[in-house]
Amino acid sequence: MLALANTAIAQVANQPWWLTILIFLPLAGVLPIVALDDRHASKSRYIALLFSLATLALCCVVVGLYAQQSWGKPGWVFEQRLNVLSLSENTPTGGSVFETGYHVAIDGISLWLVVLSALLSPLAIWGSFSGIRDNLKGYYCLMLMLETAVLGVFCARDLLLFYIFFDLTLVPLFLLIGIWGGRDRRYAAYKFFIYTMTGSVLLLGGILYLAWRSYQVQHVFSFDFDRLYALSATLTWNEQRWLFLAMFAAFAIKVPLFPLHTWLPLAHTEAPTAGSVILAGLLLKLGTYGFLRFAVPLFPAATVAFAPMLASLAIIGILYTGVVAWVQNDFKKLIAYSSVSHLGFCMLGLFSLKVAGLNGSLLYMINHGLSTGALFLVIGMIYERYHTRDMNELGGIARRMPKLAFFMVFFALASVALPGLNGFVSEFLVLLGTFLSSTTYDNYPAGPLDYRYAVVAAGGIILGAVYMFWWLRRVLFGPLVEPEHTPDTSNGLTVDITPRETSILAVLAVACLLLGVYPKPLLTSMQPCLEASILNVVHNRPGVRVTAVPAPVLTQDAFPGLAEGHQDSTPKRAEPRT
Amino acid sequence: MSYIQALAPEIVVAAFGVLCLVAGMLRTARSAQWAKSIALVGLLVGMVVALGQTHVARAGELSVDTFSTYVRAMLCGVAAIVVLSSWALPAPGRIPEMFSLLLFSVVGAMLVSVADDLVLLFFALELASVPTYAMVAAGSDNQASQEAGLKYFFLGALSAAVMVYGFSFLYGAAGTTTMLGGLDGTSVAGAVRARLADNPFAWLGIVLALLGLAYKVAAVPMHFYVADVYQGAAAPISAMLSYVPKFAGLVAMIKILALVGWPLPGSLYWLIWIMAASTMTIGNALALLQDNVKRMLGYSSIAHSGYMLMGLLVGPALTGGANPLQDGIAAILFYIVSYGIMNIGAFTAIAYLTDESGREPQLLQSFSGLGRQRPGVALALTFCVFSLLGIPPTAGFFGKVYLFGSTLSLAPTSHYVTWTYVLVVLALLNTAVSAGYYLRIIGAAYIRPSEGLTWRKGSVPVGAALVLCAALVVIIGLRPGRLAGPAAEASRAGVVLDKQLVPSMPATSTATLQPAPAGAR
Repeated sequence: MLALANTAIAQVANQPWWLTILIFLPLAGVLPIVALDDRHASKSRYIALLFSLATLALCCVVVGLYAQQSWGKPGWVFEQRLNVLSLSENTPTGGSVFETGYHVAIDGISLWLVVLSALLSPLAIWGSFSGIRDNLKGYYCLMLMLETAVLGVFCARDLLLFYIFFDLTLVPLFLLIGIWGGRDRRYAAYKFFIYTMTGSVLLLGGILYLAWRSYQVQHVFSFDFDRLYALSATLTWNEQRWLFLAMFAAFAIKVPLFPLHTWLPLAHTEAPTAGSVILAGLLLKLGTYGFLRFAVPLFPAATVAFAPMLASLAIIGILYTGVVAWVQNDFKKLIAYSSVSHLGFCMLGLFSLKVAGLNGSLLYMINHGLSTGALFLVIGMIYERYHTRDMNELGGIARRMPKLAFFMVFFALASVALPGLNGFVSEFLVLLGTFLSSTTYDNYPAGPLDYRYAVVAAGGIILGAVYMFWWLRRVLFGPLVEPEHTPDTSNGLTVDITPRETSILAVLAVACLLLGVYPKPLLTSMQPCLEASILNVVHNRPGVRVTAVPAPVLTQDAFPGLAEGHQDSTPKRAEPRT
Repeated sequence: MSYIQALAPEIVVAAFGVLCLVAGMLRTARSAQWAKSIALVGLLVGMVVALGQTHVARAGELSVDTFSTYVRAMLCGVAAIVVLSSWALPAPGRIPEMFSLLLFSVVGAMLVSVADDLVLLFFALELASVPTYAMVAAGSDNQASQEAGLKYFFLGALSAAVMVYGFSFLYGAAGTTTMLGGLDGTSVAGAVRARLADNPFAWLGIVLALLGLAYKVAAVPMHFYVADVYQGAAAPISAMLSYVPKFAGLVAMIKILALVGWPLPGSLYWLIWIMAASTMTIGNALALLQDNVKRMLGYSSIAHSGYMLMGLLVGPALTGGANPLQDGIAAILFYIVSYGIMNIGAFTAIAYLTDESGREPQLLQSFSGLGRQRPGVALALTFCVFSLLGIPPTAGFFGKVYLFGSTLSLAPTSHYVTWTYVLVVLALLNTAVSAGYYLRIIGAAYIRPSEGLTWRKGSVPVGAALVLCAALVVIIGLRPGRLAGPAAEASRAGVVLDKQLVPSMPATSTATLQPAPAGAR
């Protein structure tokens, strides 16, 4: 009986459809919402919440299955290819030279970002129940589309598919900012879209060039990761440099890296609360994930060469935006600038190219998503009641809203990396990795950075504490200052946060606490993947290049060139520039 | 193969065009309705007949192959959508004639794809253009239409004169009007390839012909009419202008450049490079300045022509499998069809949304509140506009992937490696710039506060055309290979014709003007 159950579980676990269902489940929620009669538009909230919660549940199942199959091991699982989006169907004389299409899988790196997306989306949807009061159907449709696009980005294993999802995230957020945003929303939405689009078209150029190179070397127009990793060994220094810069254009704008960050504070201030949560929590991670997943392993020589420059930009960003955050009166802008500052740490750890730095960087993405997402939710809750975010008009509201004040202090502490909360672990690892980057402590060759970067960047921690506590002091404590006719308690709000809002923040608080005291499960599952797919590649360890765990390939005949392609691509890497 | 067989699709469509006229002559109350249905059926039958011609054959100055099959079928198929979107055309009393003109114009464009003779090519191009002059003027009753028609006619006549002047030089250089022709070297292509270096008239002929054709595809420096004409003509007519004459012009450009052969000699490379770069940049830059959506789409039409000219630079893939990532011609063939569908969709939305007095919404602000009041129309318009912008997964995105990708693949084998990359980067940045104005259309529909505008309940066939365009944009976006495969096959047929000439080419004289070594391409 038990054996039977086990085989049944194994069969279910080997289904290639898990990720596809996970990605498109939120999108499926669009259909019932559209079909909803306009008189019952308010029900669309529950439909959206239901679908995003179902996605979260499915995501938990996927994590469980992942733990069973591949925990602590490098490699891809739940791989699936489908014959859509392929650039050419098989025709009598052509078409077989393409290898592209729908191809998804996850490893220990993507897994946790998928979990973060699946966790933040329902909370953001639940958090907009009282804030969004008009055009509900459209709003929740866009939120669900956004979730699908983000999940797709983290699961895509085909560069063209990645690009498609990457660009698809723009459309819903553009409309979310443009329709439900603040006073300056049109300008903010256009600026956000055009900035990101400019970067991403250059990324498209880089992707197309890689495909062309793969045709020259392997006689297949391929957008597939495995093949492109193999290909990257044959790229000349000049190609690596330009292609790295093309990807830099897209990802650095998305992160955003100083001095390309100017769109972000504007987009954040004008976006509705949930838009800010998703933007800070998930969309910025597309940039760092892009660097981690593509730019670094595909162009290792260029990475090593550009790392000091990128790390310097990151540090300038950490310090500069920290100072700028300090002088803001609008505290949503303050948190937006703090986001730029935090993502700077993320980039720093990434380019230290050390085990600790990479672990810290990836963990930082998760932690920043949780704590900054929560802070934006808190700000949204204050704004709904006071209709202002100006620190001069608000003060001492801890007396009015003790529960909110508790969460606000809690998440601010998580954000400034108080030991015991999640931010500390990742910030410590990032700085440790950067500090030791020029050493060989982890048995990898010396990285491109050294202790000086860490010393300067550590100044950002102090700045972070300064502006965060400045904000807390002015808004929460001191004499009570509030605009007239507030707090607004219409639409089911109470003066202090409602049970709904409390539960949203409590979920995030528990997550922050858990990751603060016990981050080990994350680290043990992500570290082998980081070592295998990044450190070994960058440091040219022979024979350890990761290829996919063999999985059922549904459309084998669509990729006839696949088999022989792998044989002639011996994993040898060109020496970095001397 | 007899002429009748070779020209069967044209004959069918032309016969239905005559039937439209007959329906008009009956002058009954229903004659307008009949004419519309006849035009629709005629185009669909023409498409079926064109698809039925699967064999490659020559009949005199005609060459029927997969290239012409693709072009004819796609012309008929997409023009059928134009018929649907012109269903509510405000041309009282002239409806049957309008539709017969549309059919004749399509016949001309179809003829372009089979023409292998300079005289026939000129005739076909004029047959494609002349009806459109009348259609622009007669499409609606306002003065702007008349002005647009007149402007379109005079400039069109000028460009036709330039083109035929070029043709006369080609004839002078070759002594024959057969373009690619047989293997005996008595074709224009043979003469041009032999003499391009030492005979300035052959060169002049090619350049003048391209210049005249630039008018049809709305490329710099013959682009001045576009915004005025697109604004003045009724929206479905503008949609048709951006597809049928443009397609005919592109096909003719391919045929003219095939006389020289790819890789293009340096001077022609630069000519096309400069045309492509300036066309896309000027189109996008001027579109940014517009507040009138029809003018904006007109300038965007120029910009898209600029992208497509990049494919002319690349030419067909001479070695390896035909595929649109290497094959500029296949990329063009894919792009023009996708562009036609998405652009017709955008114009159809304008035609669908007339206000209470029957005027088309032209200014951006006349779309305000659309997303709220007519969510379906707004959604379909959004799909088409995002496709024009190149957001995946839409037809427009894959069109750009093919065009830019094929140009990138040209670069390493081209003599001007860096400049080819520069052109691709320019095109990519132009795409980002175009977001600046396409987003304004989306913004007008969704973000602008509602100004209490109302729109008349549009006619059902026009709405169907809009839905069809939006659906096709997404379907092609999800399965781009379904269209790209036939496009690649079509381009391959063109290459076959081209290759026959290679043995008869004198090697000495071409070498001087073709700097690129005979490498992979």
